Amino acid sequence: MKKFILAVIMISCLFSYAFAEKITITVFTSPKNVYVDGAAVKGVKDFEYEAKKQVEVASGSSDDLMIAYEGYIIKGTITLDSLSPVLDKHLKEGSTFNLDYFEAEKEGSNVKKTVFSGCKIIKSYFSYEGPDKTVSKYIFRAQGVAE
Amino acid sequence: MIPLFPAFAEDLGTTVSVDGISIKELKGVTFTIACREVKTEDEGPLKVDGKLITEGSVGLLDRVLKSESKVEIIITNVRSEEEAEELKFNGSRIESVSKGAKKYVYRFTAEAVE
Repeated sequence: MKKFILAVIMISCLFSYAFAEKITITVFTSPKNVYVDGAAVKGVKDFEYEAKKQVEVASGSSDDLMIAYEGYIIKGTITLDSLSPVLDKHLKEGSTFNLDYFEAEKEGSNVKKTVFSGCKIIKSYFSYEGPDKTVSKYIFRAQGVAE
Repeated sequence: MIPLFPAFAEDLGTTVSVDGISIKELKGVTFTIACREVKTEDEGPLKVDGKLITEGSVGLLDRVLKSESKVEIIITNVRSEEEAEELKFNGSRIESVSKGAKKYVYRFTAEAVE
């Protein structure tokens, strides 16, 4: 009997450990949520993006090696109520990151996820006119987008 | 991110210092930082410019403007009692000053952001 109880306790411990490793609970604090490389960006007020089809021209070292191809220009703007340390870091370093955007159509409805890959911050804007009148905007370009 | 002690975070908002001296008559700040999309190593931003809006004329900023010298502007944005973000604008120059209704607008440019 003791062995059986011990076995049950061990099995339940193993199960709880396995599930604890796998389950991730995401708490959405606003209708629009942005995650940069898996970490939540605080104070998101707005998010918008557009993907435009455009003919791009790539050139080599000589003018004879110019190639025109159709590609998508993906550009987005994240509006926050403050500066973001993580986005400022990417701006300063010129580093690439992945961005996940979650948006609920309305309260309690399903959350739509959009994934941007190969993102780079190309411009930032900050305005302070008092603690309640602070806005920062980060404009990024992405290489890919998937809904 | 700078860890803050609650005692220092009474005034949530933004502060500006120029070469370590705090600008007390600050009404507002704006800035834009534009970067080249394909950045080479050690390359700074393409363009950094902004405005420091004050209630009155600031002697320190007037002196920097006249002398055409480069200064370090630090903008600290306090989000909450525990969080603040600091941006350091190196090689900053005050380019101009304009007077408006109860405000002075000092325009600045910078060479790099840290």
